[in-house]
Amino acid sequence: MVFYILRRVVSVIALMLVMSAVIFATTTWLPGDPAVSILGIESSEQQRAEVRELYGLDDPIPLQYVRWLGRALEGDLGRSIRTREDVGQMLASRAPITLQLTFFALLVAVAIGIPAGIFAARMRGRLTDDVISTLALIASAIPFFWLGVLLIMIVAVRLHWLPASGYALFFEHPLESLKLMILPAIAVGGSMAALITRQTRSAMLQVLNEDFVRTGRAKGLREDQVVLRHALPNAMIPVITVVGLQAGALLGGAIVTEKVFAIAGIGSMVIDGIFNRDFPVIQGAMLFIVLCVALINLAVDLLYTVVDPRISYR
Amino acid sequence: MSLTSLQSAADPAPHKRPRRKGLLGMVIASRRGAFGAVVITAIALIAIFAPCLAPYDPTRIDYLAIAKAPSAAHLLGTDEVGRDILSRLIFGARVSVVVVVSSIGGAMILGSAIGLIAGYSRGLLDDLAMRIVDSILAFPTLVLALLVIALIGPGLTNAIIAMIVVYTPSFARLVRGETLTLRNRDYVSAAMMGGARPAQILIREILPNLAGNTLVFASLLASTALITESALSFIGLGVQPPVPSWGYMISAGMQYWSAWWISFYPGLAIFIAVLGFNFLGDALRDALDPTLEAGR
Repeated sequence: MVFYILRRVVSVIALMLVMSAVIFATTTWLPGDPAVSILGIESSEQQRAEVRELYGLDDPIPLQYVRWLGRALEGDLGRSIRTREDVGQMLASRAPITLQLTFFALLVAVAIGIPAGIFAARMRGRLTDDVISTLALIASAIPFFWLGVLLIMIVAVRLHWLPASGYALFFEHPLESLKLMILPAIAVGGSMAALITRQTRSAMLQVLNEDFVRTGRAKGLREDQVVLRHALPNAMIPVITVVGLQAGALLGGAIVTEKVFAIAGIGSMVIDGIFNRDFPVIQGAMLFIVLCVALINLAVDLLYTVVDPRISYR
Repeated sequence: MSLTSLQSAADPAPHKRPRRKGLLGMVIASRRGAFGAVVITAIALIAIFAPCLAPYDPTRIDYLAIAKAPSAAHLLGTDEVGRDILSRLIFGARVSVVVVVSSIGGAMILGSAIGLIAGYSRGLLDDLAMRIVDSILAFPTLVLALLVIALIGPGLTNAIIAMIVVYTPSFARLVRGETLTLRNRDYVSAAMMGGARPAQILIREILPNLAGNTLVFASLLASTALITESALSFIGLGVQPPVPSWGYMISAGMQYWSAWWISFYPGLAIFIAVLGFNFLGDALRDALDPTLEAGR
């Protein structure tokens, strides 16, 4: 077990090294002189030379990479060319919001998907099952950012039930944050809820046919005990796999959905960075996203082996 | 014994398996398959005949008709600068078709080539290729697309390149797996013994037998590709205005919340197209899946 975890951690570090090199190399090779980006077109050749000297922009690229990586490991990701803001501080203030949205979206997906899937499986072949299955099929085809726009139009603008945009951190203003997070979390988590519904339904149908479920019923257990205590845990393994595989996708969804709800998270940082060709910002944000995805994948791998004891640690 | 008779006697190639109905017949036999086929055909026709179908020039700005509600003159209303939404939707179908076809098509060709070579050669080359493929596959579609766009910049062509990068590994994995199985078939061994060169074996013997599954996979990925492209255009990193794209049109309506039609109809178009691709892909998979066929 310890060896397995170590091996996975080493592979995450290796992946991060490769990805950081790719991110650094391509952003460094972007067309255009970084010295001009920093100083503006009006600058003199002498000023540009000074800036190149200051930032070591004339050094060989591998040397620049090692220096950049060393500083990044110390938490120094450079400054935004545009706003002179510290990239590490930008990340520190924006990342919690994006991660919070991703987490709430996951919560929405699980809270809707699992009960709906169980219910559909128990009502198999009846109208309820048909309705849930059809809704899940439709929900999985709705573009998530359009769902966000629709939610604002209906719930916020028409009905005035919830605010249309803004954000607050849960640990600072719990109630306010919940109110602001409901709509974006539904938008990001909606299609995943549909996916979980379908997966739970089919896994439950399979498990409900197993011998131990029949035994449970035969010995006189109540139906809800059979379903919740005996069938459900066994049906959860494929569901957790799907949740794990999709958790990274939620992060991507959150980045785009931030734009819909005017949330200043990592998303706007990346998008503005790309438009302004602000390479320290792009590098920092991308490095953070890649790290998050790698850590999510690692967590899922480990969780999977914990949930299903039949999986061996090779 | 000639090579062809040896081939058919030893192991009949699956793509020659007789079918009771044609593929199209099997697809449209199911209600969902029929819906998918109709939707996708309709979108393709709309894209081709856009200039004949659109009532207005999709880029013509009319400051006297800004954000007008749907009416007889503008069936789906006008947008934030008075352009006809129906006309922009019709021309937007072109962008969607171009992006989906070129990105999925490009990824299919590139991924199949990598998968065929890796699966056929095995060994070090296969190991190396699959390591790279697996590490790319660890990234969610949208995150990877954003990463590529961050590196090469926004725009239509770059969005297509980003999506080719995103989808190539999936095709490489699928084709490599099938190639590993197919290369041990008797008819492939027969072709090898007959002195065929590897390229000939790959193209004549192996490729035709994995083409079906690859196409089904492509049609299932098409809906994801459409959503990814729309999402990129929505945040302004994909197709650049004034070219009408469905994703960008949704974001344009966000400054006019009371004019719901500006954002609503483009989203509906994406939704219907995605539903169409999903249903068509599912029906194609069911029609081509030999295990399901045997069970019928």
